[in-house]
Amino acid sequence: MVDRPEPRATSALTVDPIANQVAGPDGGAGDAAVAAVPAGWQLRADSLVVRRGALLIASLLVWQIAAAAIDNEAFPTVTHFAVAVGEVARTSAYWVSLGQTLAAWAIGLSAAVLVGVPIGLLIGLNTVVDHATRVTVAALQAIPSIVLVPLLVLIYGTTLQMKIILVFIAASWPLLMQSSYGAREVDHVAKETARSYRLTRIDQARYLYLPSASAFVATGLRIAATIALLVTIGSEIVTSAPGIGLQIQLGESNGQPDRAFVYFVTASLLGLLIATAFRRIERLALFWHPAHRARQGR
Amino acid sequence: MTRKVSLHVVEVGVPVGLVALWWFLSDTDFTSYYFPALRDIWASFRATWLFARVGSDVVPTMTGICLGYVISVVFGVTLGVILGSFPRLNEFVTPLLEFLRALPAIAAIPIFIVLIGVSLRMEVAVVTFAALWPILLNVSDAVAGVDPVVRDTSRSYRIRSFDRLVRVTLPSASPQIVAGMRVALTQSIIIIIVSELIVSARGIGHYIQTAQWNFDITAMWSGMILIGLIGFVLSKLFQVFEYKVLAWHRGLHGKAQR
Repeated sequence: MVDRPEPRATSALTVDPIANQVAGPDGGAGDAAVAAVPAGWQLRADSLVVRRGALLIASLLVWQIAAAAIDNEAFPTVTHFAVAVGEVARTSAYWVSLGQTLAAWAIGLSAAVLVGVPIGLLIGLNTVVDHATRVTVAALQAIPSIVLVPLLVLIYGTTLQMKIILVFIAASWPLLMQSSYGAREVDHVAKETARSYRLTRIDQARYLYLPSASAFVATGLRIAATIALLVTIGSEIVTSAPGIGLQIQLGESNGQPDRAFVYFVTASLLGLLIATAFRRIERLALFWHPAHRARQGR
Repeated sequence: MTRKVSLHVVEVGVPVGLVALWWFLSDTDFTSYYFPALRDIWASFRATWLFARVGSDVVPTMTGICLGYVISVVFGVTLGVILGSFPRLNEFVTPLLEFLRALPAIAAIPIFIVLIGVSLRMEVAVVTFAALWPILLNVSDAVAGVDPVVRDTSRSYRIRSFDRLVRVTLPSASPQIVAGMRVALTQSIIIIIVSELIVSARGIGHYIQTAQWNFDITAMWSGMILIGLIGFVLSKLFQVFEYKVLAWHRGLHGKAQR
């Protein structure tokens, strides 16, 4: 398991006091700058692009020099890599394996959401269930799921099914844990207010529990999405199940390490894409949160 | 009171009951080829891991985890403090660090194998490659985010820069440093196991892989359970460490909330 969820560190709620502190003075300064010189703001946006561009060029330069110094096919230079990208992107194997990896990731993750979130909410809402599962869940989620690969591959072979089941198991834990925190940490005052206003159960779920838990669930989803990619590719490398991981393995063993590197970079970009996308979802799920509203007002 | 006690009984009773259920069900007709009797797994576990193969398999695995992890922590904290002290540089390189953290490090294992060859050095290198970034990113972020009032106060009191680092910067960054270290620990375990599963001459992962090839399902299960136990124990140890290191923070936080 990667990125083991922990209520204090990962929940956006506890970041709140810090975020508020930062948003206060910073937000004020931002307002003043926008009001006084709108053109200056434009320039700042540009300079962000410039900075990112400079970083990209600097990174490529360091890569080129490091690769030339190491002088090993397994770590190609940028120029060599660019040529390999041209070759690999034209093969159908590239796009097929990309699809195979993404399919296992998406199906496994969806199944984990469908199972992990309801169970987590139930655990968080019911004290008896909470205590009954506490030790068991803590023990099971500390086990690195990747260790199940040798067993699953015996049962299901090097198939999509094997990958999906592994992803499902690995991704369920963070979703379950975060959902249970989310349901447990609903504000007491809000809960009692809702009850004394005699909101119906459905309305309570809709206006109280769902928004409150959604932030935690979104955090769990982000962690689960990263773990899902990690175990998908991990299982492909270990068992030679078709996908990006297998292509990396094949490239290295067939004497085409430059191609393997293209697949490795593809996997890395996938990782970045998933992390960025789910961080954005997490921010969306927090739309109601005071810290976030303050930031939007800026 | 009685309710509290009975809840605690349930807490411990359920996992014990589940293991007992597994033990008795797998002893009867429910047993299948892939899920051998827990009694047999336990016998295999005792014969293998208590303590016949500890030296030959457990020690290499743990050495890889510990070496890679310690190196990551040392480098991550040092580089993080340096980066965090130069806010502009830190801001400049953060997107690159985010990228390096987001990439699935498992995918780099085959590359490291070709680059370095199958060895402890390779394993340590991959673990460092996986575990360094979460620590580095958290440390640099936390150091850069030290409360400016505290920072300026300690500076205007002319506290020596070493004392400032040890008594002000690192303690105030510690919650985030610990959060990064926790992510890095789980990463380290996974990376070692996977690299041993792929190609290795020793280690617990290698033992599991060999057992699988020989269709020795019971032995495979015993290895899997051992890794599960190691993961569990390491995360418990980390919890104790976290509890000790962040005791001051919890006190502060708890009071502020009440």
